[in-house]
Amino acid sequence: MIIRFEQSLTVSEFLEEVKRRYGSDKELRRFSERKPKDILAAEDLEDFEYYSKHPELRSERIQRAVSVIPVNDQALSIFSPERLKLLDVLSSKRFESIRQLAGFLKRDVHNVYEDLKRFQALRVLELERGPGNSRIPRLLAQYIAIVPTHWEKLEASKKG
Amino acid sequence: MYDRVGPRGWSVVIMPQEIIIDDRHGRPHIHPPKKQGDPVPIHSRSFEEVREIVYSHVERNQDVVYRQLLEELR
Repeated sequence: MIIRFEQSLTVSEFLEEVKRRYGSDKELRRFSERKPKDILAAEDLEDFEYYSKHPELRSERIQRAVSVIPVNDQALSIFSPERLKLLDVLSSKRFESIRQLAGFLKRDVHNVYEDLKRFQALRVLELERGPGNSRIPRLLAQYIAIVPTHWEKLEASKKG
Repeated sequence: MYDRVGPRGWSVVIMPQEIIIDDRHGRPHIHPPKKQGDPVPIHSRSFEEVREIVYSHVERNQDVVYRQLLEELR
């Protein structure tokens, strides 16, 4: 089984998102220089530089997805009912802080923060800077799809 | 696995092995894990076909075996 988080955004939205995530285009360059092994940041930088030079593409769309392939039951536990509820709530409501979200979910703020950090690491959501030290959780994915295991069927069809 | 499709082309990034498959600089090719080595050209396929091959590979092996994946993509 594969769990696929999908997002569709325009090139303009992508450029804004990159600036929001890294602070600015300069910060992204600095980050990429400091962490040359972060290949997702390198991908962002390459795309950012390309699209910045092609303003005619600003209204074109980019489809992005994160696919999680849980190879064991422990890996699958990232999708506990509580975490799925958290994603569901974030898809329809906006919260000004993690504390506010935790209050809505009636959960401990530290546990909610840990869950958000997991999904942030997967790049499924972002934690935007809010007033003071607060962080505004924002879901990036618009669709969450479950792709059932099908490789055996695929192999069989290839063999005819 | 992270994928993106846009006007610049498509790319598939497999983590944590750090394998990149993309068609952004001409023909589709694969970058070996952690970019250790030159990119290797692969058979011309659509993004969806490549994604399917990677999905099947990971599900079948419960892991990513670079040499084997390369053969499946060639």
